[in-house]
Amino acid sequence: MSGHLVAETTDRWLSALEALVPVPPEYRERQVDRTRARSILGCKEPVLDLLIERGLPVAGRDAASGGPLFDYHDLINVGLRSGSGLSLGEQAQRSLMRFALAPAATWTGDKRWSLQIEHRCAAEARCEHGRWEAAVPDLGPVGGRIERWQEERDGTADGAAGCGALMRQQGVVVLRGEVAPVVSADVRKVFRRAVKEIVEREVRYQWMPRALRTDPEATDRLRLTDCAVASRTLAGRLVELGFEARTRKSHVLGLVGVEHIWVQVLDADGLWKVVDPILAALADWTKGANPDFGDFCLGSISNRVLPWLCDADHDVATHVDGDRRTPAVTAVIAEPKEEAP
Amino acid sequence: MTPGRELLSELVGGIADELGSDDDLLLAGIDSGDLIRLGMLIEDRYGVELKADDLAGLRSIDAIDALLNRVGGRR
Repeated sequence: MSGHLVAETTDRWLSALEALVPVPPEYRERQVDRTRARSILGCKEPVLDLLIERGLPVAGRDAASGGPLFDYHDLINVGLRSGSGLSLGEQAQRSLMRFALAPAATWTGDKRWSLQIEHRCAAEARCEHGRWEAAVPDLGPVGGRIERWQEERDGTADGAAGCGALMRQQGVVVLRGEVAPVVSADVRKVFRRAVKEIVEREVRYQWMPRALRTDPEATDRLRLTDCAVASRTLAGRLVELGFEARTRKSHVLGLVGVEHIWVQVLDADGLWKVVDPILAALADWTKGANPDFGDFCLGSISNRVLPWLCDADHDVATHVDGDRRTPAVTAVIAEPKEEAP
Repeated sequence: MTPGRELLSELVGGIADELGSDDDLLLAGIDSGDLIRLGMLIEDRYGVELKADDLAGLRSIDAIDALLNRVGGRR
């Protein structure tokens, strides 16, 4: 590698670090060691050394080795801006947005998915009388049907620390997708403004721990956004204009199911429409994305989105033990299936 | 060792040897981040751009091998 290229690579990493809004200590939820940090960044040792030297926050020290621990989200967010293409954040985003590269005709039409969903209680102590509250899929916005659905509420995660209670949902669903462009000029205008703010980085798109993304005062102060923040903001602006609007939680199905939040708005034609500023912004940043995808996000929804009967302010699943309510860590494993014979 | 198992080994090491060829990788404890990297590694190694359903189908070593067979011919 030439000296010029090395300098260029170094500059990119340092710019990414400069753009980082670190997770404030009180919101940190997951720390990783140096080996894992390098894997998340997808970089070599000297790059990590340089980032530490230039201020990559050290979130703690490993009790056994005394080595530095780093905040998982800080690492993801530095990687996202690095332009290396090798960081976990970039690769996850590239994988998530792959469907946006395909022809528009593939975004809708019946698509069958086999689902295995696990909700794991994240409480540090066992919930003595725990019971599950869990959302169910709501295919209203996307169309389609549930062909099979079953739940087991009494599982336990193998070797889990803490509570470890496990709820499983399994099933087969057909998601149709819906093409329904927004007709209201006001909604279109507010949506475009929201996307522009993200794309032009008036607010910073970052991955955030749950405690931070659910604290509007903190995200406003730090000028941070993600799907939860952007959807709450957009829904609020639409309500101020006199529209009925609400946030909705979903999972985008793919190699890894990704929790994703968007907005439903009652349009001027009397129909509820899906508006999704974050997927529109991500498509804008995705090399090779279909240029029609941004418009698709203004009213339409794809056959890869599994909506839950749940808004941004609630968790898809919660383990309840008396007064203690613990949000579950949810994993969605989805596999596209051939049409039934 | 099949090409799929070999590729997975590059990412996760010896644990790949212990998996059955049709074990669900995520349920068997493979980190979701490693699966994401696997998809991107196949793209880089084979010089192809996988479709969303190709990526979503990377659920087992059998599935990786089947995909590698397909992309080998797609180059």
